[in-house]
Amino acid sequence: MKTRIASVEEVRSDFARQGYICDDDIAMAVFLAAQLRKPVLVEGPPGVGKTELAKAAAAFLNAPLVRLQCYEGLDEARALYEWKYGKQLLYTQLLKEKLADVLGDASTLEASMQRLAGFGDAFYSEEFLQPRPLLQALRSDDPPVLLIDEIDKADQEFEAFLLELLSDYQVSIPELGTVTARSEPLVFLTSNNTRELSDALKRRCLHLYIPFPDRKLEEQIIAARVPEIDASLRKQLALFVSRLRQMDLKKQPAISETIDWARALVLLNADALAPETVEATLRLLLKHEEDLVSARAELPRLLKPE
Amino acid sequence: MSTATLTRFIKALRGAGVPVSTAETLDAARVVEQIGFADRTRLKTALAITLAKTWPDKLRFSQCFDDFFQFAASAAQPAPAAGPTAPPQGGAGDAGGGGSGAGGQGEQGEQGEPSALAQLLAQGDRAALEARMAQAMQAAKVWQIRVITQKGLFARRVMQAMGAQALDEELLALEQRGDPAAIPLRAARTALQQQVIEQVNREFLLQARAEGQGLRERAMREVNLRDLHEFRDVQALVQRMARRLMASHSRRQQTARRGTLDMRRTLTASVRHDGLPMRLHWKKTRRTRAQVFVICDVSSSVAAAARFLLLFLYAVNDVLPRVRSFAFASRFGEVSTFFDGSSGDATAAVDQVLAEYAGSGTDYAGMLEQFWCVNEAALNSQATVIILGDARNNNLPPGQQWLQRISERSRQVLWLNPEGRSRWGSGDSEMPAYLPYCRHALPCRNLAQLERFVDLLLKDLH
Repeated sequence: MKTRIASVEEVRSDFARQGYICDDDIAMAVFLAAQLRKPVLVEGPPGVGKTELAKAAAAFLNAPLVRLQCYEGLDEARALYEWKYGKQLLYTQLLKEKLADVLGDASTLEASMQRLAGFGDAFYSEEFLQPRPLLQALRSDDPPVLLIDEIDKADQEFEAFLLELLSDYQVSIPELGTVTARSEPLVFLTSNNTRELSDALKRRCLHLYIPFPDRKLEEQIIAARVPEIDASLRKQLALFVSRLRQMDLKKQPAISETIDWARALVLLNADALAPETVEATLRLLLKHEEDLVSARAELPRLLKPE
Repeated sequence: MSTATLTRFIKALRGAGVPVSTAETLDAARVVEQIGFADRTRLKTALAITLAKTWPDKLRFSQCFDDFFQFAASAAQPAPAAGPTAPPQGGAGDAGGGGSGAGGQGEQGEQGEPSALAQLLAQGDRAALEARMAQAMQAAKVWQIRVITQKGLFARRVMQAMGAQALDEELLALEQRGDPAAIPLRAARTALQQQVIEQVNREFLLQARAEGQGLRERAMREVNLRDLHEFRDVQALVQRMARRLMASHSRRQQTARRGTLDMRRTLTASVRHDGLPMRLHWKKTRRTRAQVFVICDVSSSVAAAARFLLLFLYAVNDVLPRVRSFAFASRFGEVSTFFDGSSGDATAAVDQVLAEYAGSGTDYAGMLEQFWCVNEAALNSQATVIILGDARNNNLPPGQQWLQRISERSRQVLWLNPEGRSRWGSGDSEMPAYLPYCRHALPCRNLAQLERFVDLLLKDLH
């Protein structure tokens, strides 16, 4: 992993090379996170490139990406480690006879107990440990980028459990003790704000809010992602989407949807936003029937050149 | 410009309502080390990432940053040497210049050489004046301003630090001589004083807001609910308290926790197969589906408490989805429908309820009987019944047998009384008759007590 970043500009230009166009806020967050070794909490509406940011950062730092997708009911066993219960049980059964051999000449119960204790924690050793993403990230030799995606979907307990990891880069496993990170990972947490995260978590993180991009930035993003698109069409497209976002919609079009739409328009060989083309392809942008209806009604206004 | 500036900025930030912890302050200091003070926009971006952790906080941060550094910026530039006599002002001192603020070395003397300040005023050099003012503000430690009455004092100190004393003497001399140059100079001095007062005002708003707000909030939590309507931003406070409660109790009702082996059950089950664990059992937690019935006395003596209880209960709607509310004064009825569709902000709905049901002549026995008749079937072992009222029954029979039935049928009855414990049972209060059937009976005279109650309730229900 790259350890030193010279400046915010370096982040920005490297991200741009990867096709991730970002503003100063985002580049600064990555820069500070890498310099201060602090986790970053990324919030914002869905589809503004929160997850992409972690991927771009991993590519930029030349580090492996470890991803943990959160969901309701996620617990330590899925996130950190699990014992291979099946294997443990299988081994006890297979070793039953061996056990008899070992204990065969012990005359009393106490002697057998002592002999058993002499074998140590054979069944709670690394052999039977199934590492999950968090433990993988901690045990990785090369400092990885750890992406904890949609942390707001996980429960309160899990959030509390993460606190130790986020502040000291270590976790406690009851049977093994404390596992400290071999190399400190760069952590990105993303949240769609379906619930308020705890203050304790926020305190430990840098906080980045990514809003929908403004027109100019969105144009640049389209240019980077769909290079074959015509410049004037790109301009119209960004204007259209930004006007669309000002409407009262159930779900606002995300950047990813804008890109999909741009690709579709290129495939259709469109060179300008004609009402018929928009009408036919609007579904790529708006996913709710009500939104479609209200957007269609407003179409002339939305398409009006500046 | 350094740690001291940063600490003052963070204090101003807290005053603007952005919560900043000590750990975050340390982070900010490290950030400043990385970024430096030189590039303002960059510093702003970096600090916003470190200090403001919600979207509203970011907006507040941006405003506060601009207010704070707009003036500090001009202080950073060294004061241009306005003449050979310009006193060397101790640079943009974080150490804080002489507290006495005796900057106005009256060295203009008798030769008639005008003082530095007079020269600046005569030249009308705005930039230099502003820089000088900024330095004077630092020398006078204006950031220490606490109360509004100190404004005059600090304004005077700033003027002194800028060298007003020398200027005044000079002005006096000019005017006595009848020199025409005195008139524009006098006008310039007045304008300057205005400007200084404005700046001190700004600083007061920035710095003193923190303490003022903390004080207000503490007062709001402790004041009797009846008098609370006199505060303007009490709704916001209730919302904030509710949000905090909700955050700490949200999503606790979890379903199965697959992944943790239930050793006891696995071993018990394995006995059947001669000790071979054929089936693994996993730990599960059960989700309770609590239902809350809240009955509010809305007669004039208790209405204020009822308002805030309802506001609270509907503000934590996300974690307490099944609330049915009833109101009574002279008549009794269910008011749950008022709150349907008013997500988050229940203020309007509460107003409507109070307007519709307000009255006097409460009859608790009649209310309990009606509640029992309507809801007998709905009550079960997961129902919590909350009654808010002063139990002052106008000397009618208390009818505690109805409460007994309700409490036997439901999980628990909780009573909130807006009067202090010492007054329960005095006069026509029937509280002692009801007490045996309540799991908890608590006074709720102010927001702090109400918050504690809702916290208790949520903890208990999940």
